[in-house]
Amino acid sequence: MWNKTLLTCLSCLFFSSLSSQNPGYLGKHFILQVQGGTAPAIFGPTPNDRGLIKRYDSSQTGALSLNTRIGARAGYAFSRRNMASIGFETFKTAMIMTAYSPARLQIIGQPTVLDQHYLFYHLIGKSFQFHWGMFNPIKGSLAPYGAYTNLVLEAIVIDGKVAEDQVSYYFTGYEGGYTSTRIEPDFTYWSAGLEVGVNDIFFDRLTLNLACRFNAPLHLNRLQKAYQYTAPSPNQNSIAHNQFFFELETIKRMANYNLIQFSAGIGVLLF
Amino acid sequence: MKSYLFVAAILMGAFPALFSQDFNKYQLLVSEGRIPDQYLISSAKKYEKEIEAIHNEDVKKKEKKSKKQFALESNFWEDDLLQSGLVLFNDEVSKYLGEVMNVLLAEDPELREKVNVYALRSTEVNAFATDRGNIYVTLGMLAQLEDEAQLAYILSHELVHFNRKHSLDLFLAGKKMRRSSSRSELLNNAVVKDALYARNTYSKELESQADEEGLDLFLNTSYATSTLNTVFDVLRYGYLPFDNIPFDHSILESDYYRIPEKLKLEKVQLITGEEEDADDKKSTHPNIAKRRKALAQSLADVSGEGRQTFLISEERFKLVRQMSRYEIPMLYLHRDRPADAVYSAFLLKQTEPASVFLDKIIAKALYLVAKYKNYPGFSYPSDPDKIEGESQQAHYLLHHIDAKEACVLALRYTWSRQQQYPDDPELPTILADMFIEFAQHFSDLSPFPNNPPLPPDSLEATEDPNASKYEKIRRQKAAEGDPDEYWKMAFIDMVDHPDFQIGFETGLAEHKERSELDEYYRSSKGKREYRKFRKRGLSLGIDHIVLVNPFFLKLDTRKETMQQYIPTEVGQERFRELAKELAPLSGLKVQILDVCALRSDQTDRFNDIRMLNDWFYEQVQHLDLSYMPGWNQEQINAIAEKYGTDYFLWTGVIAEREPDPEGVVLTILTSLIVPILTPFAIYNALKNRHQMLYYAILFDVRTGKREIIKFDFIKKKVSDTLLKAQLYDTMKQISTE
Repeated sequence: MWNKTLLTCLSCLFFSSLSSQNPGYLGKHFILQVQGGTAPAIFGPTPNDRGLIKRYDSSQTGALSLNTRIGARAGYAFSRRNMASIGFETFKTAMIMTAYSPARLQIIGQPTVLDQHYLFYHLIGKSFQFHWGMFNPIKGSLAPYGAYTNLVLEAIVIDGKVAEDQVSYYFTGYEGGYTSTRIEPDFTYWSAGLEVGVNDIFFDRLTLNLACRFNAPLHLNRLQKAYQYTAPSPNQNSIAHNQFFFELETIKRMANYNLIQFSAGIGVLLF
Repeated sequence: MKSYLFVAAILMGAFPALFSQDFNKYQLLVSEGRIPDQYLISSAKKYEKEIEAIHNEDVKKKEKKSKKQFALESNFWEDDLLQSGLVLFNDEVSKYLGEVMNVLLAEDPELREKVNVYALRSTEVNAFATDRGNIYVTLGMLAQLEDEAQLAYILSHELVHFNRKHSLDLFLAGKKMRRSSSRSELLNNAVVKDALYARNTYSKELESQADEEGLDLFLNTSYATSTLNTVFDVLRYGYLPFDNIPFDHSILESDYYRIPEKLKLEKVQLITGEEEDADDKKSTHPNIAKRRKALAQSLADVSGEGRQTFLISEERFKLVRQMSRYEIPMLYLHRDRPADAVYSAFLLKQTEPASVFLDKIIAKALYLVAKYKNYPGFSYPSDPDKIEGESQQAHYLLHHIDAKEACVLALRYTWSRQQQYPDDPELPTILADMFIEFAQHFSDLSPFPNNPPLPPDSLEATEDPNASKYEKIRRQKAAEGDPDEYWKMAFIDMVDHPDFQIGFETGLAEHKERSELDEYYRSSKGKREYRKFRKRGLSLGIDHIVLVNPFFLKLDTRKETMQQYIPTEVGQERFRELAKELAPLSGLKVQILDVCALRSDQTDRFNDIRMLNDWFYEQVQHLDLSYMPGWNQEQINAIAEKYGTDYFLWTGVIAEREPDPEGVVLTILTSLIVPILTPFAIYNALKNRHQMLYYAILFDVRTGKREIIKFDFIKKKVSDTLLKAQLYDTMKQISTE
């Protein structure tokens, strides 16, 4: 629903700009750029640093580390006020979650007992973005040049890899093995964002972009649930529970990870 | 036949000025011949040359620095003046000034080589010399002088200022005093006053020296000294018009339309003049009494024998003075001083009663008054109570006449003149607009009778013993006319004219349309629409424009001398280059008219630029009013014809660097609240604050219709990219259909 509303709004903006002047920068409208960015890992770990989260070993506690993103963006100035861009970025971050699986040893006639898994995931994200840029010509910004504000719709296809799985066995001392959590670590995360940035142009061809972006998840209901989560009850299906919990944790992690980003890009004005 | 032509040619050559002006259809003065080199060499080059000379001087470092600063400021200031179009060259007036200078310096050809004299288009009564050897005499001064000897005396005074490098001396003295007082001034304001006093004293010393040595120079010639004392009267009464004749309201009246007594002064204010023995402590010049006394002492032993008031020619002097006087009303119009324009035109009409030029000046001045009075929130700029002499009547009338009356008066006068000069190209435009202004007060012509209510002998009718009391009163009132409704008689001889009625109907329809549009753009919906419209940009579909004097100014408000002279000139050149470069890219044919880019043989273009800039200045002054033609619209139309387009663009940049302590504090506070923004806060606190104004106004110069394409304040440092983006966008808005 949210996605549809946002798309409708963006289409309205797009069509409303069609009657505007469209000078581009000296007649050039199309920018292709590569960019790198970072999101501070204040609320979570990075693949190489678990951040402020302590587990087993306090020496693993990190401070402020950064998640990097690299990607490319292609933009077209539709008018002196508006530029549409599509972007692709890839990044790697990490997530810590707890999951449960039925213990290998069960006592007949008793409810199923569960081993607890401390999971450290590496999340590999592929972000696909659509930006609708708004330039204010009255303040000297003429698309694609100058300061702008972008509305962003982002889809991040996430592929998780377990980097560490530490098990707390229900039966202490029974370390013969454990059953799989059966989590499918793939998820598509949607967000809407607001980017403020500036495009500068050199030698009438090269572009430099500096931007800061704030994103909010479009999975608000599930994000709320993620904060209310409790461990499964003995009679609950732990597989469904784990999968559900993985998604909630991913949403929570991505909401934090994606909250604020800084990026810089260099590009070329093609035509 | 050939011999006749030869004689005619000789006569034309011998008395060019006598043949060049018909005061009935006066043509404004324009520069002629080749453009002097000093107009065309860049200020930076002149400055470099002077710097080199200063560098080799054997003076203290501080003095060198001050001299360099003087060279910088004076060169750029003077070049701005030269290029503004206010200074005339090789015209009849400047040529005559040059000839008087030749007489003064007949014995010193070397000095003559270094000196140029120019007429300055200003109503002020003034003359001044610059360190570069240029002497400027205002048309206001020339209009007031009585003979050639007085002019020679003034020129000789200015010559001393140049020869003794007084402007540099004064600048250095000022710097020295400022330096010595700069610390103390923070503690004691009295020190500043002392410094100012000292500076003025020094200035007075220089003036006295110029008076003395100027007189010596003057006395080397055969000019008569008998009228020199009157030069001080010229200075004393210079604030008055060039003559003082009672204003005759009948020039605005008809048989039936009479200006009522309420708009006339019984008695005008007495002329006091500048006080002879005024306290001159705060003045840069000694008071008049002192100067008169010094002159009298110097002339005590001078014999008047063999001396003449006119050495070149009395006719030439009078012609030049008359030309200067004819320029004055137009200059007043340029400065939005309609009452002064009307009065000076009235003065000139004494000798040239049927002058089309003067009639049009009056029509234009009345039109301006009507436009202003119709504009909501307008307050008339002059205070008639402060005016002395007979011109006070004109000021009083135009100050106290209300908007409706002003419209009636202006429409009446313009209509009459249009009937009188049906082939005049300017009057129909003014008339059409006057009908629109008129419609603001009248939705039909019923208040205006088409014949007099009573025959002129009606006063006798009131004496009819058989008439009733009320009939008598009615007849009496009708015969005398109601002073509050005198304006109803304005169109008796016009209202039945079909063209008048068509003009009125058209004006009414246009006024209605204009009011609706105004109302819409004042509403919040209109304002929103306008804002949206500004963001979207225009699509004018014009393929050919003329770009007039692309303007660039760089300021640094943190410094004592705000204008950054050299960056300004560099920026100006770059801005012009960019305009040339971007025009073909935008698909627009752009002709650039810029004084800095002219060749010496392009005087016609120089004059065009001057006319266009005058016109632009008027339009900017009247930006709040609805469309108005220019005061020299006829020439502007000819310029449009010459360049093959009606569209002229004025565009420019004012770039400013300024301190912003509040902004720095704000960003630091923000970073304390949101620590993640600290790097931005540091960057923000360290970076320089820049802002610029970019404007681009396109005019259809024939109709005065303006398209304000841009008038944007941009918080950014001016850069090539920014200029290119703005200029290209401007051109694209003009060219895109």
